[in-house]
Amino acid sequence: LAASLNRRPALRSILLAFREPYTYDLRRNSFTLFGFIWGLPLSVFSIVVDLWVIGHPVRQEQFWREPIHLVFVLHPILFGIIFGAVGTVHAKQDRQITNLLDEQRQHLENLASANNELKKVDELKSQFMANVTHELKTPLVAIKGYNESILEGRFGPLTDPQRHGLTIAVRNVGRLENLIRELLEFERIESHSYLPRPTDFDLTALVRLVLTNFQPQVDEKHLVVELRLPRALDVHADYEGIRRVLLNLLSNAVKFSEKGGVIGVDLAEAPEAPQAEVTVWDRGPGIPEDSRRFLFTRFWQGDGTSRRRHGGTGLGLAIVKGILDAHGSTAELDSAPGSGTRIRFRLPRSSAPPSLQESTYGSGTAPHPRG
Amino acid sequence: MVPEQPLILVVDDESDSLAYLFDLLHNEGYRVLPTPGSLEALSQISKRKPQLVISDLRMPDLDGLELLDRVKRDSPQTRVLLLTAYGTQAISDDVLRRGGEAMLVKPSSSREILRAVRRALEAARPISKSNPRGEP
Repeated sequence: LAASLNRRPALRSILLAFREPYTYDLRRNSFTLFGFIWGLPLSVFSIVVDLWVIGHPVRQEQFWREPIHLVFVLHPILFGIIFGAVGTVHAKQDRQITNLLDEQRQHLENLASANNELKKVDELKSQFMANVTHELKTPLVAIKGYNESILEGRFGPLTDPQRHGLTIAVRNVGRLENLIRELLEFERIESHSYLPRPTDFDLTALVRLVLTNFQPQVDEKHLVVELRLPRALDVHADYEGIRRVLLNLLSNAVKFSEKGGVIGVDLAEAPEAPQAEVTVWDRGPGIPEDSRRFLFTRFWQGDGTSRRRHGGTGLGLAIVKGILDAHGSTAELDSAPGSGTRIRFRLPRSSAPPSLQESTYGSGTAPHPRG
Repeated sequence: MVPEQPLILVVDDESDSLAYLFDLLHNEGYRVLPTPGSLEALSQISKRKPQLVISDLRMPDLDGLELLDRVKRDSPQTRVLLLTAYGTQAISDDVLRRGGEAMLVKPSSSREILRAVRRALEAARPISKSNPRGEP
């Protein structure tokens, strides 16, 4: 019996409800009251039949001779109990649901307050970053200024060893300055104070301009740079932001290429919408599958251990992502270990008539070896 | 008679940055008046009417933009260059809109600073002719 009841949980809960005082509580359990009233007509009906047939209500000895009368009398009580049991089951379910809802609400409240805390911490962190970068830059004014001015001979002639030493000092101040600038740019993106200011400009010219920044490293590592650029390709985007995106992507391509490696930039019109498609690629070590999802995450680096070979803040691609996000664009990654990395993104073309650009596309596609 | 070199007032609450700007400009032959705070700068500006003010953006009392507004109100012929460690395009636009010459992002190279100073002074020259300096 127990086993068959376990298979019918609804029946089991009703049977169990007969043990609950709530089932018999006419005042609290409206189901009980309802069942009792629902059962009354049959009792009344039996009295009416008795009056009709024998002319008066049934007497005690007659009552016991015909036990059907017992059924008529107990009928409202039985109905009350059965309905009451159903009411108890319902009340229990309601209570459970209410408890669950309360729990749910509590969880939501906890989550919301945890989220608020996180937001506050994030705001504090942004404020902290802004302050720190400011504090880091302030002493640089005097360090960079004096070193450069002395190196430029503004404060008198220099000996060769002095010039040599100061050149190294100034170069390293530049490195420090770049790091701070990267932190600052990242902070601006994180705090959503970076707003793109779109203008129309020639992306081909910008790519060529940005590449000149890497000429020293390209020469030093004997890299081959392959460019597939149209003669001109006008886009509508934030010039400074896109310059930063190209700088960071090319910096990675150069950084992760071995000596004598090949890097490149492809620029083309996207097939569908009036968009320009930019691809920055290298044939470096590539990015393992499990690392790809963190690639655009701040501070993340492929090799985060102290033995890592490549420097950097780990902010470069997070900045790229932030700038492209603000443009409504995304960086698509195509990479496999050993076969290099390609990062592609699209920008809206400027609304100006395309004029000569389409016909001239392809003129700059010859591989352009350097170094 | 050799014409007098233009007077440049430099404001920065960071004494070393102030010293550097003073040395750089003084070495180039400008007359330089260094002031360590914006309130002192204001009183000097109304007294000495410099051709150019170079000010830090972030300062206690009055920040660079407030100083720029006061200078443009009290001594409109004085040109103002602002220096900031936290430069955005929006701030730069704001500086130009309020009548400043330019905003330089710190740490700027000495060449950039001198170029900006020369450009600001060139712009100031035609006005400085009619500048009543109270000189005989």
